[in-house]
Amino acid sequence: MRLTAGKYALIIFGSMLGVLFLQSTLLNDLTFWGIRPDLVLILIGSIALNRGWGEGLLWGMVGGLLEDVFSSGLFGSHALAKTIIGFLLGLAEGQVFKENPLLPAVAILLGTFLEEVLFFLAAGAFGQVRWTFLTALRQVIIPTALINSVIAPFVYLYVVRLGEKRALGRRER
Amino acid sequence: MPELAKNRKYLILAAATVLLTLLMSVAAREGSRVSQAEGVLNAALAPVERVAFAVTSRVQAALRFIGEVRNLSAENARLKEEIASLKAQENVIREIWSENVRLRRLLNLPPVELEFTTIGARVIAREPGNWYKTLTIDRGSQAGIRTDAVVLGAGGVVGRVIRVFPNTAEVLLLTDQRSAIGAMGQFSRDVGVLKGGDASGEGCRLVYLPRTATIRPGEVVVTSGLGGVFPKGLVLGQVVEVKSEEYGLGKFALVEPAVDLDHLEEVLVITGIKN
Repeated sequence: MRLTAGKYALIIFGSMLGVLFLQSTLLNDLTFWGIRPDLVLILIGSIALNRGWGEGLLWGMVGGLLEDVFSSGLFGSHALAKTIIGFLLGLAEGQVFKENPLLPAVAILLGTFLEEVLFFLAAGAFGQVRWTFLTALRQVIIPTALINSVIAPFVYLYVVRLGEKRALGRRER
Repeated sequence: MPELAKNRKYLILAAATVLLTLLMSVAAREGSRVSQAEGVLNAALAPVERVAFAVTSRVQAALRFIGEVRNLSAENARLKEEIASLKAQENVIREIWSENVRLRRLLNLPPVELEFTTIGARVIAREPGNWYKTLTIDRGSQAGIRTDAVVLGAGGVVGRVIRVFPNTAEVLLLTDQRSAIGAMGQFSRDVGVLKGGDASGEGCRLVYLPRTATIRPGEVVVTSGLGGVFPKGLVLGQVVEVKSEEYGLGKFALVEPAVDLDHLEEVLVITGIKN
């Protein structure tokens, strides 16, 4: 199957919306040691690593805003953290060997860690996080980064496949 | 000019950051008020969430039933014994209650019995992330629910409403790290604040207890009525452990919520007080 740019964008948007919807309903109990993987962030990171800073920033903003709609936190706080991380991970595009299976795991590990720290700072500045930094590290930041890095290679593969189909579609035109 | 082109990407990032920070500032100023866009999105998502959560609940209930079916007869016998014991206790409580009413009349004190007007609601969604602990219920402002309405489950307090949409409402669970409820020991009468998001796990922490506090493990923690949101005397949980604060300035207690917040399907929302 070949994808046009529009269909590609629709699939990514639908994946983000679907993941958030499932995590707040059917798959809410699917946790690992009490922690839910941040699948939207893994998607954003995988897109950024494959497509560069522009798409990383754009999808970071879209995914973050979608998460803000589903979350009870301050509107814009997820979007801010994810936009910056989408951009930063996108800067690595072209600098790394994309086929290396370690790339998504390591990049998402670092990306998640940074994104969660940014969220802690952004939401904390508006009084939406009352934990100390050490508690936040132990309760959310480190566990989420570790779980995300384990899941990242699978999501990365999905994004690479989508990208290939999109490239095929473009060449055909 | 070439320098500007080279730095274009950083300028775009800076613009996006400023824009989103402004958005956060506006959202913070709005507080619990719901914007029109949020209201529309919520109305669109609610019916689908309701169906999805109902499916999950049924599947989970069926799985639990299969797991529990072997122990049903033993549990039935235990529950019958418990009912008999509770009935005996109920008679004693009725006696004490009527004595309390008579003595209050004698002393000219106002009655304490409070009856709440409540409305039942179904849980249709939960927070998808790890930072917060909230849930969405299928009743909103059209059913008379207001911000700060107290939400109860089987056994005690679940939390309070933080945002209300026409047909749904968001409930902040007492285990959320943003939650703080005026609380006290039911027997010791030691007063403190029950904070959610205890660093050691899923429970809560009763903080600001004095060094002389006599609260003990096993004691029931109830709302103190201080703070004005939660009426006095609602069950919050049970003390698991009492510890001294760092430097020995005071004490704190680890509290396990009375309600199983992970498997909530229906709740009661207090909409008013009959007295």
